[in-house]
Amino acid sequence: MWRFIITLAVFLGPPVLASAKPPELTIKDLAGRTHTPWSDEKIKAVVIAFVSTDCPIANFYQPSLRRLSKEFAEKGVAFYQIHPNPDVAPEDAKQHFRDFEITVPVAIDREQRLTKKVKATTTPEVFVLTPDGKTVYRGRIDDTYTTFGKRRSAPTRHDLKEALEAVLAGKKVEVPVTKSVGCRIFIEDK
Amino acid sequence: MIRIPVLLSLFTISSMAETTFNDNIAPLIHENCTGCHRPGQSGPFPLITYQDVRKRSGTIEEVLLDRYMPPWKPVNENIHFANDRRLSDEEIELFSAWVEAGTPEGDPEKKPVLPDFPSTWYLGKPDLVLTMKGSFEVPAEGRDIYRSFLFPLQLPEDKWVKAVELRPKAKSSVHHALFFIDSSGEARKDDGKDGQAGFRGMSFLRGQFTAGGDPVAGAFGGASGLGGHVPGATPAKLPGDLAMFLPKGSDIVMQTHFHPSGKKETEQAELALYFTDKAPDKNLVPIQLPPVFGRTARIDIPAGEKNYLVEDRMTLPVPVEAVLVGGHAHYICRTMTMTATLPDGKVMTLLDIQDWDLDWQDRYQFEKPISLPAGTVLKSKITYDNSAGNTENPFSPPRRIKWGQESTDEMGSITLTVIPKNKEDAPALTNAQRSHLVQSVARRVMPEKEKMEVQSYDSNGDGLVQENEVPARFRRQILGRYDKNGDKALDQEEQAELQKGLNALRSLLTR
Repeated sequence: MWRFIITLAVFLGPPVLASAKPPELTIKDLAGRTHTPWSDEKIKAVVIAFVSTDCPIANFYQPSLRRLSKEFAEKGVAFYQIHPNPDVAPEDAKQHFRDFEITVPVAIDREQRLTKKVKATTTPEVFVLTPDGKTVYRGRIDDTYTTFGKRRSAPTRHDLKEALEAVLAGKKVEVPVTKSVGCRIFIEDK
Repeated sequence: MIRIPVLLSLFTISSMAETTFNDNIAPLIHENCTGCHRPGQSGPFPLITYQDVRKRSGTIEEVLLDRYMPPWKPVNENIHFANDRRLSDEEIELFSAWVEAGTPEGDPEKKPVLPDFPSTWYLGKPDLVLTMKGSFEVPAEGRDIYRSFLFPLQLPEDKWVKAVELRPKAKSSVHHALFFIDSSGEARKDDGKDGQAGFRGMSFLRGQFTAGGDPVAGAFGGASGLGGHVPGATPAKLPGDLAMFLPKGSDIVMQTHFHPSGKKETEQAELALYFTDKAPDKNLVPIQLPPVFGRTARIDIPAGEKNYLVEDRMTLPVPVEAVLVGGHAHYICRTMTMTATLPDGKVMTLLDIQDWDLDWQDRYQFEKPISLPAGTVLKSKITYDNSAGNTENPFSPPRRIKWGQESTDEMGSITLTVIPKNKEDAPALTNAQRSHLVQSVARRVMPEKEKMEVQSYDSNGDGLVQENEVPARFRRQILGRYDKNGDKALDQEEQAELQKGLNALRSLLTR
């Protein structure tokens, strides 16, 4: 199963302008599997989750991501996990995929193109994209973590879930931006 | 790079000289971070090489500024700890300056020597390695888990322990562990009762508390303690000839706190023991206030209470040297302070934690032993926030929280570990603690004032105290002990005995 996954390349189309035509989003893995979610008309939203093999907070959220991706898969939401660290070894990403029982495609952002484009800063950090090319939500998955080392016993805000429910109901996302607690993404200047 | 004339101020030098990894940052990281952030240790990623640190420079800067790392809780102003891991403001500024400068590596000729850590046990070859009985599966997610596990031991002779070192298997999930000596055999009975390795809670300590066991003997860091495994604390042998007593026939119990980490893990830890042949000249004596992890303090915190206070005090009967201090509580504890009021009125703050976090329950070793003369009053103060505003509150909405062994219950105590200055004073110190404990317990079970007179029990005035005239709370205890003829009533003679008992209790409490 992990064979599909992926290591690792993310291709993006040209800059997205406000237009009716969905932006191009191609996520390709080394096994040759190409994901072009917007070519499927049933897809109503895409969730890009920036993750890491060794950020404890990002890893803590893997079970939540798995549950959410399962819950929303049949409602037309495609989840992807992206490693923004271009130096992650494919073997490590595969091991991480197995250890955390990840069920969605994972890619390594070798050029940090996607990372830079959406201006991701943290792992974990999620972006909800819609077919009109907009980012309708960015930030945390929920508010379990309140700061470094401090966790609630249960979240009081389910930000990603609420954003997806709003999108699917054709409503405006009430809180479109939140701050995610986690590990800083290092951006390579090239 | 231009060399700045030495005459210029330090400030100018530090602001002009380029901060590089090889020159400035490697020593800082290797000294303060790498102990845990290296393969096999508790840190989630290594911080050794230039790339390790450069890639995580943003995260490191944030956790340094937040003072989440390196983990260190006490904020005492005037007392210094030997194992203090705090960085100075200047060190943090240095790191920020390096990030600001674009994380330069520096002169490739000056590559830092990578620190060399022992690859196996930190303390070298152990005298004995124990393996936890059974294995325990830690789920990928869910609430924190507190569970106790058994290391069967039952040595045929008494031993003196210089150090213990834990090697957990569930490295990502094990948050910390505390070790206890069980000489009651209770832990063996509890182990595996619910179908999984280990058992919940610390009920084996109850056996020692109520069955005449001595909760102050042979302990280190708590009642019958044997130290702990805390993230960020490197294992160390006790200084000098100090050692912990491990009585023959006892087992070791490890109470482990797991943070589910996102992936399933299996725990089957190994524990290394380091012995010494010689009994120490003087013993470490832990003074726990309030005793038994706060059990005697009747902790009972109403839902919504923002500032619940638990206090205890004890007067030292003999001069001692304090060597280390640490506290124990659960989620909703907020602050912990222990002060010593010396006979001359001087007050010293021995421990001051203003942002309690059960994740970091370290023991803090004084840089130099602190002399406390006889007559010094030790006071501990522990506060709790059981309001909805406390994000650490395990209940939403808040609930009444009482003392208990589950992590969602509360505990609270501060332990000051001391050495009596004069060897012959050790029994006096132990006696003072025992009587403090007895008083605390007596206060806890103390009948209301009017119930201290037996006559007031005889509500029907027939001269006998019938079963139903004894306050329900103490009925079993009182009748069990004083109704010698078993007629479910106390005659005059039995009443006189009871009155003697009540008088003794009263004198204990007013002493």
